[in-house]
Amino acid sequence: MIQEDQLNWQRFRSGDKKALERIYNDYRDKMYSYCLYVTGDREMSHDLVQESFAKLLESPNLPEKVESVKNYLFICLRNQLFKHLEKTKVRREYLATAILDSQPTAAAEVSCETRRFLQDILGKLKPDERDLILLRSHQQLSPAEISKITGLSNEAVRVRLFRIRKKMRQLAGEL
Amino acid sequence: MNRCDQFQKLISDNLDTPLDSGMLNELQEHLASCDDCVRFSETAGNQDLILKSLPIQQPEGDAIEVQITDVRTGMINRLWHLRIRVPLPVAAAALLIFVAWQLIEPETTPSESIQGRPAAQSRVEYLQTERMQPAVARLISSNQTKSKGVSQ
Repeated sequence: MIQEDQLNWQRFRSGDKKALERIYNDYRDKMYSYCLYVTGDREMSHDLVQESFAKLLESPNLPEKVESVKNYLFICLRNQLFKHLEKTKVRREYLATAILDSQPTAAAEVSCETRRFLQDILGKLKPDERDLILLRSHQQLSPAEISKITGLSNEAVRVRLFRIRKKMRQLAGEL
Repeated sequence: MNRCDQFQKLISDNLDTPLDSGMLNELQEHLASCDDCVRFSETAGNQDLILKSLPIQQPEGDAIEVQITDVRTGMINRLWHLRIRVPLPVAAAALLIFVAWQLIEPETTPSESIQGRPAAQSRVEYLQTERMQPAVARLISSNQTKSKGVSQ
């Protein structure tokens, strides 16, 4: 997969738009899911993913090689996400129903425990806390990869993950 | 950070990267006698599993959007370039000319003759006619009315 990604990236850099389409199809859903679970907003998540790929298309200075295409895409996406969150500053209620119920298939797979978790625990974290815990546990990125994406040191990532897990435990204890 | 915090940090680290055997043994010894840390380990582990199993969501729309965005961006770039090539004074002059032309432009909409004013007559011609001697103006007007009556 990594080799295929690298090949697609090089082809895209050479002007092959079909290669970007392949990259888009491979990572669109993961990027969208990540945004959705961080923001709780389908429309915003959709726009953020589109903007990230539009930026890639417009960018004149793409790196020749990337260590990980997935990590690079998440760096672009996070930049858009936090820029947007900074601009909007409107506190929207984080609704598990908004995330799950518009897709009947997805809703069928999800248990009550998961719904409660989304609404009462994940929904009560700050966006930057959700960001980090989702990158680790949902997107399965290692602390080293998260460190490269966020610009934090490896140890800082681990300490923050620990604090987020403690907070999540406290929130679970309040239920 | 107290002793339990340190071990709970190890529990958290272990979820991300397996601990070496020495640290793992130390942790397991602690867990044998600390209920709070055991509960933390269970809760953190369960929540980690829930996060892992959150469904991958799909946006509406499909992969073709990458192409559409490309075309749209290209069109927007071309329109933008067109816009900035027209200098402001030129645009202002063009606007003034257009407005003046609209004022001078003869009426083309057919209208009923109102109080002797022939329908097809241009506004300019009408004004010129009215500025002529009133007698001549009335003569022209009556001739036109007569010829209209003959043709009917």
